[in-house]
Amino acid sequence: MINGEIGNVIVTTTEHCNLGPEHWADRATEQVIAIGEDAHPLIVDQAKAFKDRIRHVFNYYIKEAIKEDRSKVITLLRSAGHNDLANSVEKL
Amino acid sequence: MAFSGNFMCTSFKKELMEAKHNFLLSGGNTFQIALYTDSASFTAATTAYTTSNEISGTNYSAKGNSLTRVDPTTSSTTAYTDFADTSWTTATFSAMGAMIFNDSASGDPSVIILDFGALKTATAGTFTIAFPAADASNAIIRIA
Repeated sequence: MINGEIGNVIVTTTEHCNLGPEHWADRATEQVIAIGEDAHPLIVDQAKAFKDRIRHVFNYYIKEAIKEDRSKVITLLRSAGHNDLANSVEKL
Repeated sequence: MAFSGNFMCTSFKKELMEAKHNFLLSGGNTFQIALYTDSASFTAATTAYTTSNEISGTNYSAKGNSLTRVDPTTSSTTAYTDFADTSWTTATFSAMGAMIFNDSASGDPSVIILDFGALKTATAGTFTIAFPAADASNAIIRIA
C-alpha cells in the first residue's frame, strides 16, 4: 500500500508593517536545523543551544544585509538628486 | 461551499505514474501556488487550476506565486519533496486556502489543496506561507 500525505503550512500575515529580520532568521534556522524527536535529551539540549546560536547569527547578518541594501538605495537616490527621499530612507 | 481540509489530488497520483510532474530543482516543472476565497470547494477530486473563486487584491496576480522547488529525497521508506517559503509583500488581500498546481504541464493539473483553517488577511503588509520541515513526518508532499 502506498499512501500520499500532505504537511501543514503556516500562514503569517501582517497589517501595515512587514515581517522583521527575526521572522526570517527563525525561518532560515528551521530550514537548516531540525532536532530529532527521538534524540537523547543531552543531544537535544546541545542541539537547541546550537540552534539558538545560529538563529542569532542569521538575525545579525540579515540586518547587515538590510543595512547594505538600504545604503545602496540611499546612494542611488542622492545621486539622482532625491535628497528628501534619501533622508527618509536613512531614517528607517 | 468552503474549504474542507488538505487534499492530495487523486488525478495527481495518477499523473505521477504518467511522469507528468517533475519536482527536481534543476530542470523541473514550474509549480505555482494560487490563493482562493472560502467560496472555493476543492476536494481530492479537483483536477486542475481554476480562476473560479481565486482571490484578487493588491499585489496578487492570477495563478499566484511560483514556488522554488527542493529536490525530492527519501528517508527510510518515505519519499518527499519540499518548496521554499513564499510571500507576497505590500499585499492587501484575504485567502482561505490554496492550490499548488503544475504550470508547466498541459491543463495546469492540480497537485494538492491546502486549507488554511481560517481566513488569513494581509493589509498593506506581508502574506507569507511557510512550508513544514522537510522530513519524512512533516514534508509538504510525502509518499509513504
